Order: sequence, then C-alpha cells, then structure tokens
Amino acid sequence: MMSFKKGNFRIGEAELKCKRADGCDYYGNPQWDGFCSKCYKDIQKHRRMNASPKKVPINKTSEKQDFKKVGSTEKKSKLSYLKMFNTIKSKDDISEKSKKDYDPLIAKKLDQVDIEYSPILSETKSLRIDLKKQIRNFCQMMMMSHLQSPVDIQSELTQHFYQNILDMLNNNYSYDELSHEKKEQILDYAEKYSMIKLYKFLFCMTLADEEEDLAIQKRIRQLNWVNAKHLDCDIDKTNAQIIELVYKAILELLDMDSATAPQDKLACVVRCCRHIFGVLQGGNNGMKGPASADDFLPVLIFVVLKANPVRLKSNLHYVTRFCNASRLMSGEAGYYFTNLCCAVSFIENINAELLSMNIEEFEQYMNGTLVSDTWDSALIICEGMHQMFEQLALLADLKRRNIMIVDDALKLKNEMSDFKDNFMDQFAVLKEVYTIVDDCDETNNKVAVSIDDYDPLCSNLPSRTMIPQVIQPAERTRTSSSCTDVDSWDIHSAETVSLHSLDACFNIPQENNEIARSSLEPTINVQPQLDEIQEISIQGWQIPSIPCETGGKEITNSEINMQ
Amino acid sequence: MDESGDGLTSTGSRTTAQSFKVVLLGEGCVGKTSLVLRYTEDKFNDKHVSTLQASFVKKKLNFNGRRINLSIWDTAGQERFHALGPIYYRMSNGAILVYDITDEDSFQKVKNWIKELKKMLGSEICLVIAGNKIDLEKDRTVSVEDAENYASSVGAVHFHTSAKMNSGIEEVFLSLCRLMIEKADKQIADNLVTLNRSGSTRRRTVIIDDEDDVPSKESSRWCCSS
Repeated sequence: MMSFKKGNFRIGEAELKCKRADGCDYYGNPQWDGFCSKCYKDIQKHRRMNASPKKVPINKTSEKQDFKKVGSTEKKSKLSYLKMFNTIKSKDDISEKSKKDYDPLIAKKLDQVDIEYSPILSETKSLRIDLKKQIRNFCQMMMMSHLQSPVDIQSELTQHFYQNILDMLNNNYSYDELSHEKKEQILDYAEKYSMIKLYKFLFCMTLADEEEDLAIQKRIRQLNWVNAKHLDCDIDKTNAQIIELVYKAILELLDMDSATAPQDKLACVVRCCRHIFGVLQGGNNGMKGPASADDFLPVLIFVVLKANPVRLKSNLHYVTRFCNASRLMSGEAGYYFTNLCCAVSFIENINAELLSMNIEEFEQYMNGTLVSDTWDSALIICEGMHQMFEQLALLADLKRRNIMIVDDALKLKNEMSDFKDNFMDQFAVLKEVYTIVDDCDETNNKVAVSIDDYDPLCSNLPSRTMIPQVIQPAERTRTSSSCTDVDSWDIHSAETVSLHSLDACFNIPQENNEIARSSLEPTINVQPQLDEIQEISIQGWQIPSIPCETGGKEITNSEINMQ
Repeated sequence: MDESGDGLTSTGSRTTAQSFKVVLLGEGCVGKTSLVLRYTEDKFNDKHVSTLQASFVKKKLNFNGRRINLSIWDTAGQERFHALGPIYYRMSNGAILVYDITDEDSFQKVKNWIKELKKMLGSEICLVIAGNKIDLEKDRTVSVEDAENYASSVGAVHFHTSAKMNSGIEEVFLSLCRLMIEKADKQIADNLVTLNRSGSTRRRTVIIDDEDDVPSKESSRWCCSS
C-alpha cells in the first residue's frame, strides 16, 4: 500500500482514469480494481451473473484490504436497499463463495448437522431463520477477515458469536419456553455448523502452528524408547483385553484429526480417555477401585506417545481457540482435554529427572546410541501378542464348539440306541399281534385261492385274445354315443351342443356313410364329457336362479316395507 | 445479595444453575480421590466397580436456595507432574488443597501449591486446606497450630477431615461453595456495567501472562492484556 501511495504522485492522469478499455471519462479507484464506480458495478454484476471462476483469484491477488473495503461498501449499499433484497443478495454471495471454497464433502457434513439438529430447530418458529442469519453473517465476517486479523482476534470474535447466540436465546421472549438443555443444544448446533463451514480457514492457520506440529511429532519420534515402566503406569501387556483397549484409545486419538467440529474432536478425546479408564480398571481384573488422576495421566501420556497423532498441536490450538469456552472450562470433555494438554506439555518438557533416570542414560536414549527395549520393538511384540491372543481366542472357541459337537454326537448316539430299543420293543409287541393276524390271513388266502378257480365272476372275463373286426367298433360307438346323447337330450332339450350331437346321431343312420361316420367320431366321443360338465352348470344356473330372484325381490320388498 | 440477583438475571443465570470448577491439589496418596468419592457417593472402600473413575466428578447441590453445579477436577499429584499445575487450575473458581497429617512433606507441598496459585490467579481463587487422615491422629506430624496459622496467613480456611470416618468432608465443600458464591456475587456487582459475557473465561486465560502484580479489578487487567 505504501509503495503504491508513493507512486501515486508520479503517475499521469490517464492512469488515474477508469481502467475500462473503451475509455470511460471518470476517475478510477484502487478500491474498485482501478475502475470507476459505475464500471466496477457493471463488472461485478457481470461476474455474478456468469458466476465466473475468476472472482476469487482476482480478490486474492488484489490487496486484502481492498477486498475488505469492497465488501464493506457493498454492504453499505445493500443496507440502503430493502431488507428482503439484502438477505437474498447475501445468500447469493454465500452460495457463490461456497461453490469455490467448499468441496461437496463439507456440504454433506453440513447437511448431516442440519438433519441431526432439525427436531430442536423446528420447535420454535423463527429460531431456524434467526440462527441461520446469525451463522451466515458470522461466517461471512470470518471468511473476509481470516487472512489479515491475528488468531487471537478471531478466537475472540468466535467467542463473541457464541455469546451473542446465547444472549439471543436468553433475551428473546419467543424462546422463553425452551429449557436450558435445549438452549445448549441450539448453541451446539451453531458452533458445529459454523465451525465445519469455517474449518478450512481456522484450522492450522499459521505457520507457527505447523512448525509446532512438526516439532512435537519429531519429539515423540525421538521418545520412541519410552515405555510404560518409565512412566510408572502398569499396563498388563499379557492381557489381551487390556491391549485391545490401549489400541482403541490410540485409534480414537488418531481419529481426532479427521473430525472437523470442535465438539467432535472433543468427543474423540473423551472416548480415548474412557478406554484408558477401562485399561486402568481392567489392570487388576476389574477389581481396582475408581481410577484417580494419579493413575490416569501417566497412561494418557503413554497413549499419546504411542499414537503420535498428526497435527496434534494444531488440533489442540483449534479446540482451545474456537470451542465454546464454557464447554472447556467445565464438563467432562473439558477435563479430559485439559489432561491431554497436560500430557502434551509433559512430553514437550520431558527430561531425565521426569522419567527418574540418570541424565547420561537419557541422553544416550535420545541420541539413539542406546536402543534397548525400543518402543518399536515393543510395538511389534505387542502386535505379535495381539495376533497370538486373537488366535488363542479362536482356538478356545473352536475347542468349545468341538466339545459341543462331541456332546451332541453322544446325545444323538444315545437317542439312536434308545430309539432302536424302543423300536425293537414295539416291533416285538406288534409281531406278536401280527402273527395272529397273519395266521388268519393265511387261512383266508387259502380259502380264496381255493375258491378262485371256481369263481363264476371270472367266467365272464373276455377271452384271452381279441381279434379286431371291420364293423364291430363302429357299431359299438354308435350305440354307446346315441345312448348318452339321448340321455342328455331328455334332460336338456334346449342345449345346442347336445343338438349337434343329436344331429350327428340321427345323421349317422340316415346317411349310412362310412367316411362321414368316421369323421364324426371324435365329436361324438367328446360329447358325453362336455354334457356332463354342462349338466351341472345348467342345473346350477336354472335351479338357484328362481330362489335368487325371489329372494332378491323379497329383500327389496322388505326394504320397501321397512321404508 | 439482591443486587447480585439482578446481575444474575441479566446473564440469564437465575433460572439456571451456577457452575463452579474446583481443583483438588495435593501430593499422591494423601487421599484426594477418597475424599471426592466420600463426598459424591458416600463410599470409602475402593473395591467397588460401579464408578469407572474419580478424577472428574460432578455434584449438584442446593445452597441457600441457589442451585450449584460443582465440577471437581482431580489432578495428578506426583512430583513429576508438578509443572502441569497451571494447566489444571486455570479458570477454576476454587481449590481444595489436601495434605496428610501424618506426612510433613505433603504439608510442604500444600504451601508450594498455594504460593503458585497466588502467583497465577491472585485472589480470584477460593482456597480451602484439608488435613486428611485424622483417624490416624496418633501418628500426626503436622501440628494443628502450625496448619491453622498458615491457613489464616494465606486467607484460606482450614479443616480436618477423614475420608475413612466421613468427618469434616461435607464442611469442606460447603464452606468452599459459600466462598465461591460470595466471590462470584462480588464480581458480578463489580462488573455489573461492563459484564457482557457470563463466562469471562477468556479474559482470565490471558491474564495468566502478567503474573507479578495481582490487580483486583477485572477491567484493569482486561486493558493491559489486550
């Protein structure tokens, strides 16, 4: 800015004029990228319409303060418009920004937060709108100022924002019926939503943070030889359950980096610490009393050393700066977080005295000249032990199942032998009964067999060989079919199918034609079957139709009577 | 009291409970954990598994019709963690310093803690000293007179307690509560005009930097810190 101002006196009038190519006669202004107010407005409008990707790079390359001033002038001009217009416009700004600054992942996360808190937000009518407006304004402000104002100011602004929301909830009469817990949840929502949105800008924002991250990471790597004994915490390395819990605690601590909202990061710390308490309790097979801070802190330090989480310092700074201060001051999460800070501070200041060992030994360890019982090897051992215990557990399970199978097999064998005995008993009884029956049968059979030869019924059976004759089959079918057809004719005189068959029947003797007769045979053969079916259907149609109609009439009559 | 009541409504705290943070300081094995367990759950024997931990405990109580939420923070008492103290006790409203009456060293530790607390937090923190294990009166090495004289010289209240026999513990916490409420009321009355945030925690975190002079007014400190 300064150099630009100095140069200002030397440049000619032409350069002070609006930068527009076709020569606008007005003076330009560095605040408006060297355009005059009218041209700048036009250009801005044009950009907004196209939602061109140029806007952000231009703003970034142009001086930051200019950007801020542009924002404020825009705001001022907006204020003079209708309020409705104002909100719409700022919404456009946000959405436009979000297109470039946010990846879909953040948008998805924000949607999730919205869904998670929607029951609370929809409880009071204007709450959602009010909150959204506050969050939007805050985010906009933070995004504009994130490059120039120092971290402390940003943190202060964030805390003010939380306080403003709390004041809004406490002082607005429309929120009077909300309970304290609900107000807390609403505040949670505001914190979560805005922090996820601003995470990119607020997390690890200075170079100093990054350097600290690398320093602590290097430090922990250097301290890889520190084991549980150095810290006076007894972790039973032979107990699979406890090793499992240590691993879980480490994983939770590593997870902290992937969470975005401060409370999500805190939740990771809380889960990690709960696992550590599990370790402390399980230490003596669950017989130990409630763990105190004396036991807890060493294990936490041990876990931090073993985990060596990425960007640890940045995470801690982010939470202390942007998490709601009241949450950090009191509450379980705050306590665990404080302990984590203590652990990190201890690691940073670790020396021979703190580990109760002599200085030379400590130095040798730190130089890497002394590498006895390194943590890496311990880790490998742990890993091996872990696998071994897993396999042992698997074997135990298999053994248990094997025993179960053997038991079942024995049971089945017993059942089978029982069944066999039972069966044999029953069989013996039945056998006794059936021997009598068998005797009777045998006598009957003997009689039957003896009678069979003289059975008069059998004498009517056809002769063993049947010789086909030319006329015989035709005569037989004619007589049989005519018989059935006459029957059907008698009963259902109106039936057309039977009429056909009757025609056929009458036609056969009249024509006396062999070919016609043979061609008619199939219809004649099928006819009786059809008649049988139609007999039933016709009867069914004829018989119930009368009572049905009368019944229906009766009902209608009775209904009429009733009416 | 009435004035402070008005102050509370302005921050919306009359309907909600006031919360205080209390840190427990003391050497290892003086009975900090037992003291807390006795107070919050009325248990002494540490063979019960129902409570997972006794390092962070919440206690709700009613004090003259005002609802108080105490969060009690246990601290690691080992010598090697001594330097971590400030991280624990910043932003706390009260501190309970526990020593073992049979252990002269633990009483010396209490003196160190108090010196440090005074340096860091000034008169902002309410102090209570508890001489624990009075059931072992016959082995006493710290004389009653010494302890009480020291307590009054630093503006702390002294109590004799026994977690084993459950004596004096209720009094320790109640007296600390009274002190903290009085302090909070006074603070609210002082800052009635300027107070716009109920927590005012941020300010205190910044204050730790200038440790030598101990200004009593919140506002003056606010100026120099920013």
